[in-house]
Amino acid sequence: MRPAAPALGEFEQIVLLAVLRAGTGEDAYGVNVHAELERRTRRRVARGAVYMTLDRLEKKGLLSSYLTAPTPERGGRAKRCYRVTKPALAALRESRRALLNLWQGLELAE
Amino acid sequence: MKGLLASLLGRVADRSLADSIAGDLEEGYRRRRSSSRAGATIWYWRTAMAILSQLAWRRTVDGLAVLAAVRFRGLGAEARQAARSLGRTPVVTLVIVATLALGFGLNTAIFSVVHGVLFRPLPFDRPHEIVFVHGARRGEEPGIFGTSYPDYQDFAHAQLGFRGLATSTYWTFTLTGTEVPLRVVGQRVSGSFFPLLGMPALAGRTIGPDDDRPGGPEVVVLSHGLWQRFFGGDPAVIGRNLSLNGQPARVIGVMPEAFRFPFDNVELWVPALGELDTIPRRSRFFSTFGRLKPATTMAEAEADLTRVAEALERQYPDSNQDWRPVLRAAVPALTKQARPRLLLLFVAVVIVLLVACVNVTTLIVSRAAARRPEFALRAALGAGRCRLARVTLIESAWLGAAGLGAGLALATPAVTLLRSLAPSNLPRLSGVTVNWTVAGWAAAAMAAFVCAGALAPLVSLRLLRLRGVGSATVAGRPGSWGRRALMAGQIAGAFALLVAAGLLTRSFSRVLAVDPGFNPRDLATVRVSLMPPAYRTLDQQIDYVTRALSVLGSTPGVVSAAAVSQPPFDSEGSGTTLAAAVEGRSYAPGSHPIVAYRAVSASYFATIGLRVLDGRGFTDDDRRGAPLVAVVNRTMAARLWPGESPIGRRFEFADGRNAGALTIVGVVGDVATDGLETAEPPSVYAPYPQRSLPFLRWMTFVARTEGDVAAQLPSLRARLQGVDPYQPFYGVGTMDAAVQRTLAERRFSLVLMALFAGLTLLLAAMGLYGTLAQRVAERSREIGVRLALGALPSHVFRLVMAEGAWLVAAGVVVGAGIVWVGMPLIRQSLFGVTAGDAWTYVAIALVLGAVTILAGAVPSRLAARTNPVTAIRGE
Repeated sequence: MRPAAPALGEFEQIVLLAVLRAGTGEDAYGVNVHAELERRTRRRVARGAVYMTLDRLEKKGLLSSYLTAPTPERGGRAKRCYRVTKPALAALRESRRALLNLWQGLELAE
Repeated sequence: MKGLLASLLGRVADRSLADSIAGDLEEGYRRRRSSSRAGATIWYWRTAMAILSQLAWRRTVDGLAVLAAVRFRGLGAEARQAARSLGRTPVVTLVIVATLALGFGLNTAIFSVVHGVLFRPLPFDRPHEIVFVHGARRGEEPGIFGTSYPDYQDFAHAQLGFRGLATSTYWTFTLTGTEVPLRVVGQRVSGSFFPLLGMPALAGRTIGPDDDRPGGPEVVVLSHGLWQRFFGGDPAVIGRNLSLNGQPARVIGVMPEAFRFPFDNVELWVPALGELDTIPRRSRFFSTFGRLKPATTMAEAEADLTRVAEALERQYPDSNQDWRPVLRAAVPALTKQARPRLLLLFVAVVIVLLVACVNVTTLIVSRAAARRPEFALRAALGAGRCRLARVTLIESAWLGAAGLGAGLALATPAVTLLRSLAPSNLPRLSGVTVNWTVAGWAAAAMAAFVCAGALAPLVSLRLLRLRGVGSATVAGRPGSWGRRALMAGQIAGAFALLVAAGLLTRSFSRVLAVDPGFNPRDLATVRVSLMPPAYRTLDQQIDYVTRALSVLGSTPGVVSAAAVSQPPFDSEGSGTTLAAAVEGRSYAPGSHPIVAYRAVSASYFATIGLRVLDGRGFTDDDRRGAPLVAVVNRTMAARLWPGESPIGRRFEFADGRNAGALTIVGVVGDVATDGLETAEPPSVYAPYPQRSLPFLRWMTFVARTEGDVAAQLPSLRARLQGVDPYQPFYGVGTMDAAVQRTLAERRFSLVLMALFAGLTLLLAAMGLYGTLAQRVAERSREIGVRLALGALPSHVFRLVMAEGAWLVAAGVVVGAGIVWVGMPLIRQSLFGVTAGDAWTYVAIALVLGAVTILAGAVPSRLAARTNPVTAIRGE
């Protein structure tokens, strides 16, 4: 038995994956995480929900955040950027493994 | 504006998260701005509002979840501690409980009336199946009556979607067989009346179909009130013979106290016995109701009756042209008149309660703000979120329960007071009490308050986020934004009620300014109903009236006396209408002008001070057998003979009940017959001896007196008694009192609305004072710095005053929104003023300005007198 990884809700998983994708090559923050989410899931996602989830995941220790220097194009405000933490990576792996196991050998008719 | 947004975000999220969201929004805005500035702005605010509302909702849900998760183990100790804590600030606690008691008490009292009158089901089996059948001309709203007896018979014959139909009509009786002859209001009912309602008699039995056959023996069912008052509640009354209008009638039953149908003032019920069969199809003064079959809807039943009505229209075009049956559920039908004003009062009292709760919540938050260190200490010692929430919840529950208890205790006498003050024509008032439904409503309102009172300090002071003792001193101005929003809300409530009260006051003054068309001062009135056997013939009736007038005229103090079938300010519904046909004009079926008909004695116009505008009034020569003459009112003259004099014109009544055409000999002004708010319809006056309607047996004597008219009433009554000791009187009073009665309903709502508006304004003023004083305390350092840097005290005074003015302005804007939403309800109670009446708004602006100055003066002066050194050092 592996050590239990924290349980993730569906939307939390999606947000964590979007943070990982948005974070390749640049800082992951509210704007690009939301854009990534809408592009990949092909559905409308409320920004408020994304912010709330980012905040909650950080409180759960699944994300860490840091502030960049304030810039004029942001009205002199700092950018809050997110990184996925090790426990979150473990939880994502665990979730993926469980899903693949469940899918193995199943074919759903279209 | 963007600064405001950042501040709002800071209220619903952590500062750094709020900051980064504001930054993200700014970034998105600038990116979009290059393509379209307007599009970017719209995107910005739409997105911002969506984020804001989601975060605010989440915060509220989080707070409620914490409250819901509170466990109540060891509750007793904590409840005692909370009570002790409240006891440590007795003044604040007392103010809170008193404010809540007032709010809950008023609310419960008014809701008792609203529920008892408008919503309480009728006390019958399956009351929802009972519907009234009104008649209305096409395109017009139906009144309370509106079917004729022949129409009812045809409807009842068809049955259709009804289990049955029944009808009844107002009938007055002279009741002898008791010690004094008595005039009572009763109903002549169809045999199906009681079986359809399904309420058994308290003693004996009710009237059944077998009792209702032409020429059958007269039987009578007594109301509980009549039984108690005149038969002393004697059970042996069943089977006793009374004399009703000179006919023997056997008492067969007594109804329970709750049975007052169709109207509150009904004292007995007798079967129709074919008496109604001669009443023409045109006379639509019957209250008809039916019981729907279980599977039938009101619309289906109405469609069925409409088909019958269409057939009747073809068959009897003279009387039934354009008439349609309209079905209404029983309670709304009986309370139609009272509904808009009662609902308006209810909305007003809900606003009073909301403002009271907001006021109290602000006090609770202020109280909790002072206890932040205590909360921080509890958090530092390991108290979890639930534990902290439990503290505020228990305190809030204590306050709510005390407020509710005191409020309910206040509500019972308040309901008694309301019942005594309420206008006598308010229907269904007799059963109004503080019952379980009403108490349940109050308890639900209290529960909502307890949640708000517990949540407000938790959310606005962020008590759930305290991590240790140190954090107690960190926060700068906890909750000030929320408190200001609540303050503006109170002003909004006060503004809305002031507008309603202002418009009602203006309407009332407009009503008072209406000319009644005659002089109501020093006029006494006494009513009689001349019934068989003593007054079977017209000659007998003329003889009585002549003798009575001569006796009244010779009474010391009486200047002149007269008789009329329908006096001004008539609250008894003694009017009759007839269809007129002017000689030489032809009329299509059903298109005859309908005119009010009044029989009067020759001295009537002079006695009441009604001016003859053209031609002459009546003289004693206009007697029976002389040429038929009539006097018409100004409206009838203008409507039927526009631009010409009607003197000498002739007309007759389409029903053909009189001996021939009447010649118009005079025109008089219009009088307020149905109160000051209703214009008089076209009306005909005819000399009493020449009257056209044999059933017009009721007369009102009016006497103009010298000196105190009320003091003359006993002697007038005694003199009339001498004319015929067996003839009962009713409606003995003064015309001034009759005028006041027609104003009673309007005065009742006005007084209550003014009371509510005044209370709300007082609460709002107290709240404004508290908010500004708190703000001055919070900003003492800033004010100190300003003064130290050279600001004049007058600048500081203006600074604080301006904040008060802004709060009031914001409240007025929100209040205008409330008024706009509630305007359809207010509009129904207006008379002679529009909803946008400028004087009302100017007066309210002055009142609010004065309140702002009064409430803001003390905190502003305190701020201006701040000692900069003390203020800065104090921090």
